[in-house]
Amino acid sequence: MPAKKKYLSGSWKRFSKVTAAILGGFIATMLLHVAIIKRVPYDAPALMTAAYSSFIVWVGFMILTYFIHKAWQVWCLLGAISLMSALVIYL
Amino acid sequence: MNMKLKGLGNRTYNVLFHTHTVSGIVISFALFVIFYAGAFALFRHEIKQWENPAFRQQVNPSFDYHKAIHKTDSLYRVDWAKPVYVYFPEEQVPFFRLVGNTEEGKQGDTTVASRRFYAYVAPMNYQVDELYEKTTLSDTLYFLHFFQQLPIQRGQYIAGLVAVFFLFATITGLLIHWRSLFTKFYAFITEGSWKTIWTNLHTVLGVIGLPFQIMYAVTGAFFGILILILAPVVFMLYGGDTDQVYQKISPDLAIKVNPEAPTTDKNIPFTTLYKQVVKAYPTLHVKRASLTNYGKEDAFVTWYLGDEKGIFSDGTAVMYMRDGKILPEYSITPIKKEYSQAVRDLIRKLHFASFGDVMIKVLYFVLSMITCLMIISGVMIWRTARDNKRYTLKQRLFHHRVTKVYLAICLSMFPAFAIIFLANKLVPMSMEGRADFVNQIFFISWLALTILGSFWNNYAKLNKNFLFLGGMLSLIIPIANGIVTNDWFWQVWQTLPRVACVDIFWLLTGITALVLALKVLKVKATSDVPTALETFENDTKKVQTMQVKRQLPT
Repeated sequence: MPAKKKYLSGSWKRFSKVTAAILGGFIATMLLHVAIIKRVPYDAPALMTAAYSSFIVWVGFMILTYFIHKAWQVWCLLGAISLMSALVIYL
Repeated sequence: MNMKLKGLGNRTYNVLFHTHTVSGIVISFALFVIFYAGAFALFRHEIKQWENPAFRQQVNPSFDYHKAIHKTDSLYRVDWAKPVYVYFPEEQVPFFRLVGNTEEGKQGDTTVASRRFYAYVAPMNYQVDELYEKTTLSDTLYFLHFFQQLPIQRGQYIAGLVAVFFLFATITGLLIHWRSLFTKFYAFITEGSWKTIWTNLHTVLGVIGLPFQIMYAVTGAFFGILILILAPVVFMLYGGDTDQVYQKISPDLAIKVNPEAPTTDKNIPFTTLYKQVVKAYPTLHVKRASLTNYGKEDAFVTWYLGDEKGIFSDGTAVMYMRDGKILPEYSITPIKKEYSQAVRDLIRKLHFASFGDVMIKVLYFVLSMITCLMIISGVMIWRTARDNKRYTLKQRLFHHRVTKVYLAICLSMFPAFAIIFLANKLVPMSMEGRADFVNQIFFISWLALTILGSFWNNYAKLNKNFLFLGGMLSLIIPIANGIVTNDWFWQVWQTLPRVACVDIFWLLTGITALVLALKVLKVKATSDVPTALETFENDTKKVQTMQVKRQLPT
């Protein structure tokens, strides 16, 4: 029953993935939500949706992290989402 | 008919399985406490009459709110510049309650700091007391469900993070069992090895409770760590001004009062306004109100309306006391409110089960207990699946100790909860600082029971002992209530149904626990402490069967 070891990553890659999932996932979630709240015509409904959808999207990113094989690909994906959102916010 | 859904690939399956295990084990202790204490906290208001006999009296229909407010003001010197919340008497708590801050004042040379007060005004003689100092039973259980008693003061952040990882564990659990999702609805199998039994229990209860658990994971995160979401939004979009955000949810926060405003006696009396609002919303209850600058020219009231049935029925009515006209731009109209105003109330209703009357709470209680069972069986799978030769004896002893302490903490909650209910009755009401004393009894006995449980190396025996102890204590609760308050449940079930229900609940729980402990559970005289495994051959076979099972998931 315990997961087979051969599929699991080594310690460095594992650390990188856990950080990507929790921290990277959170940053990407928040930037994405802030971008949406800023660009929709009415901010109040978007803001109140973010109050619960953020948690769902955050967990979604966490799980997505583990679907992707390579840790650097995860960082690239989350980084791209964050960068795009930041551009939408500040441009 | 093919009932199998397309599952995950081998690598993803194993990786997600591992994350499910790790996240689940890390949060399991806290999650069990949250759901167990939370299940009792659902009835926080219903058990108030049981916990304090002072609440077992009739609501006074001609209660003079004005008089009660003035009496409290003269006793506490209320700071009216900040909102003071008043709660109207209802059947479960027939007292008129005021919660606010006292004014910063001078007593001789020393400045008396402002403090929060919780005043209860008696229905008949208007006597003002801080009953909060006498009994906190229901609030203690409520605070426990988000670890408010921890020294860090902000236990809700821990609870909120646990909720986020609970959502993670729930969704990964759903994904790894995706292929056999349909069969898990009815796989009530109690045969086979212990690992199979724990697995079936875990997956079946997990699937049945899935919507409930996802709802609680999201709403729990909302109440625990909303600040984590709001802080970046407020700093990036509103220049750090939190008021702007809060005003979108509670528009009455936009009303500014002048603390220097002159006092007046021309305002419409509070009782008159109350009757007016009650008449304007005949289908809803006016549960509470907040008063700001009471007695001054710009005094205003926010009335909180709602009921225990509908899911969108909460709302507010805001008015100045000088004219008593409802200001729609600052109010949240029940049912007709906007989406952004409805979200918070909806989340609150879902989380606290304050809709669909008391039956929803009963249903939530059962589902919470099912969730507790799912959490425990998850830990049992973790341990049982690791009790083989692929792990060193040292590792297996570690797994055993974790499981044992985990079970001791979680299963001793039942007798510990019975103890706090008993202590609430047995510690005399007249005793100084009794609420703190009752809480100390609760936490110390929980700790003592946990330590005691850690000495039992047989899980079945640990379970049986705590069930027996809890069952015996449960049976004493209705007797203690009967002797101390003279309200025996067979006498008061019509006049004080809530009191009788608490007694009957403990009576039935006690009987069930004793039957389970003495008649149903069979405890073998073996120990669960791992020992060196017999033969290598035997073990390789075990590993092989396990791998075969994995390839053909059931």
